[in-house]
Amino acid sequence: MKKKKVIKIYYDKCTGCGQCEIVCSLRHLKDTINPKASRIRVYRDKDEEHFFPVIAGSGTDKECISKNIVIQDGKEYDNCILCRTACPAKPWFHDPKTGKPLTCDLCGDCVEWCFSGALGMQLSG
Amino acid sequence: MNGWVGKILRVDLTSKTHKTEELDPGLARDFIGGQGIASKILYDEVDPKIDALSPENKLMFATCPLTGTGALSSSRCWVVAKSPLTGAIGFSTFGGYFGSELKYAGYDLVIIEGKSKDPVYLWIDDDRIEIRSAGSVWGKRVGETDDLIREEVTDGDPIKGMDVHIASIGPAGENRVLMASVMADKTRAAGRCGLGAVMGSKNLKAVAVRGTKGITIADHKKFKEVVAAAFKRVTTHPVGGNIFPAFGSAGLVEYFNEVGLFPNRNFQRIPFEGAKNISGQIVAEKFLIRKKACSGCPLSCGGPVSVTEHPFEMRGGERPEYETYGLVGGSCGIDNPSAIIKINALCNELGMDTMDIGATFACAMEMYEKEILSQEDLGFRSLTLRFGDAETMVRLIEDTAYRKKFGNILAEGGYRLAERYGHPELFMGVKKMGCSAYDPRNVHGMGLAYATSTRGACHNRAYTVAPEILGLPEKADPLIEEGKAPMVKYMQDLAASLMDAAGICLFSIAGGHTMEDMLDQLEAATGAGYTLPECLKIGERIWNVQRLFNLKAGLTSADDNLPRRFLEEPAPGGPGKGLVVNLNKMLKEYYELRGWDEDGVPSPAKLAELGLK
Repeated sequence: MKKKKVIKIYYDKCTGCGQCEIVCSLRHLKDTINPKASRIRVYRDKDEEHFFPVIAGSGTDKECISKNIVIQDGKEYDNCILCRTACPAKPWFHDPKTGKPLTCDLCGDCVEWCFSGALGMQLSG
Repeated sequence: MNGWVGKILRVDLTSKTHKTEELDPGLARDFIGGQGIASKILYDEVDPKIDALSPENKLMFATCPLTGTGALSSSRCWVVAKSPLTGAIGFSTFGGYFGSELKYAGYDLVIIEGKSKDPVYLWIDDDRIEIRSAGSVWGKRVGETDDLIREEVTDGDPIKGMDVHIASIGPAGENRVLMASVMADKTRAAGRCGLGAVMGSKNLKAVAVRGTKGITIADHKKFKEVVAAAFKRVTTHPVGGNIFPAFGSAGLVEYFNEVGLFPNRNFQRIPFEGAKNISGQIVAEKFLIRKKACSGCPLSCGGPVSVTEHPFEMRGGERPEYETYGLVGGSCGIDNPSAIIKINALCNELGMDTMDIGATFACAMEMYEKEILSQEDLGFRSLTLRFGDAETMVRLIEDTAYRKKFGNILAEGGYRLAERYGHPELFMGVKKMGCSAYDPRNVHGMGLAYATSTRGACHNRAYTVAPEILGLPEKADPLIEEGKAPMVKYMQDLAASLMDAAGICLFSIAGGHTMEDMLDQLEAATGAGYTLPECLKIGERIWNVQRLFNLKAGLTSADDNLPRRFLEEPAPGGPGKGLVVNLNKMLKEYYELRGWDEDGVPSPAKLAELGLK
C-alpha cells in the first residue's frame, strides 16, 4: 500500500500562538493573512489550559446530529469543537467571503512554521 | 494599503454615534502606527491641559502595520490617552490577540471620545458597530466580565466565542484608581499610566471585537522568507529559544540580582537575599500549568499557573513577569513565589498595574517602618505593613481597587501617598510613575532612560540593560556616564519606531531579534520603502511629538529627574557599590543631541526638520 502524508498533532506542545492559521491563509490567499480563512484552526479553551489545533477535512452541506463528548485531561468537550468537517453548523473552514468549504491540501506550511513542535508531518500506512 | 488595513473607527460615547474614517497614508508613513500614530492624533486633537479623567480626553486602541501578520512577536496593540497618573502623555501596550482581531475586523485604530451616561461596552463585529449596555457586567472583575460579554455577543457558542477578543477594565478602572490597567484577553495588561481609569471615566467597561477580513501583504514571498529567517534566529538563540519559553521574562531574576539591578525594599538595599526563591525557574517548575504565547510569538513567556498554598490559592491567570517579581517581590521584600503569583493574579483581576502597585506598596512599607505611616493611618489593628507582609498587601490591594479606607489613598499612586505624608523623596519614581525593577546605580544608562521617558519612569523606552549588562548587541560599561546619552537617544528612537510603532514586542530583542529582521518584516509587509535611517528619524519624530504634548501639559525639564535616593545615596551593593547616578551630566548631553535647549524644549530648527509644529 502506498504511504501517505499525515499531519500529527501533539496537543500538549501547542502554545496557541496561531502562526499555523496565519501561514495557511497566506499560502492559500496568496497576498492576504486571514485566520478565518485558514484550513487549520486552534481552539483555545476558555481557561487557556488547553489548545487544540484542528485541521480541515472534507466538507458537508448537512449538519450532523451526533452529540458526542470528548474527554481530555478529565474535562469534557463537545465533539463539534474537535470535528474536522466543514459543516453549516460551524464557522470554521469556510471562506469568509464566499462561504465555500475549505479542505487541507497537506502543503505542510503550518508544520514548517510551528516552532513549538505541536505539528509534525509523517508518512503512514 | 498593505500591512495597515487603512481605516479608523471613531466612536463618540456622548452622542452614541460612530463613523469610519480613512487612515491618512501620509500620517501612516510618517508615524508607522501604534503609539506613534496615536501620539500624533492625541497631540493634534486633545488640549494637553485638560483633566485626564474628563470627557475631553480621547482614548485610543492603536494597532501597528505588523500586528496580526505573524511577523515575529507581532501581537502589539497600544492604548493611548492623556495619563491621569502622570499628567503627561499616556501609552501602554498589551499583547494577546485583541490587536490582531481589530486588524482582521478592518481597523488600524479605534478612537473613543466623550463619555457615556450609563456603563456601556463597544461591540465591533466587522462593519457592525454596537454600543451596548454594560449594566450586567459593571462592577465585575476582569475574568468574569470577559466571559459574560463573550457569551452575550455569541449566544454562548464556545466556537464562535473563541474568535471574540475583549479589552476590559476591572473595578479599579471603574473606580478611577490612578494605577488602573486595561486588560486584554483577561490576562494581558496595558498596565502603565492608569489608562484603565480613563476608560472608567468614560463609563466604557470593555471593547469586544471579531473580524473576518484579512490583512494584505505587499510582498508575500519576501514576507514569508524574512519571517522564517527571524523565527530561525530567535528560536535558536539561547535566550529566545531557551530562557524565555522555559522561564518567561523572569528567567533572569537571579542574574540581575547578582549584578546589582534587582530591587530590594524600595531600593534601600542590594542585593535581594530572597531572589533565588522567586526566579522564573522556580515558578516554571512548581506552578506553571502550561506555556502560552501571544499572537505570532515563539517566546511563549506566559501561561496559566496554579498555587495551592494557603492563603494564596489560585488557578489560571498568568505567570508573573520580571517586573512583577522585582517590584511586588524584591522591592516589597516578598520572597514567597505563591504570594507574588497571587498578587499578580489579583491585580490582573481587579485591573491594576502590578508595577505601580509594587512601587506604591514598597513606598508605603518604608514609610510604615520609618513611622511616617502609623497603624491608625492603615485603619486596622491586626495587620502590619512591614516589608514582606504579603497578606496585608493582598488585603490592601482589594481595598485599593474599591477605594476603601486607606486603599483610597493608595489608589492615588505612590507619589501622591508619599507627598501627602511629607516625604515625596521616598517614592521611587519619575513623573509620578514607579521605576522599573532595575537599580540605576548599577546600570547608569537606565537612570537617563527613566528620567527622559515621556510617560514616566520606564525601562522599555530605552532598554540599556541590553548593551550595558547583557552585551546586546555590544557590551558597554554600566557604571559610567560617558556614552550613555547617545545610547539612550538611539535606543529610544529605535524602540519607538521599529518596535512600538511597527508592532513588535520589546521582549523579542532580548531573544535575539535583530533590527534588520524587524525592518525586513516591516518593509515586506508594507512595501513603503522604509530604511533604517528613516525609521530612526520617525522615532525621533514620535519622541518630539510626545515631548511637545508634555511641555504643553505643563511638564518641564525639572520633571526629567530621578528619585533622590539614586542621586545621593551611594549604591549599597553590586559592582557599582558606593556610586550614585550623575544624571545632570548625561541629561545636558542628551538635550544637546536631541536638538533641545537647556530647558528641554525642542528647537524650531529640529521641529522643522521633523515636519512638526
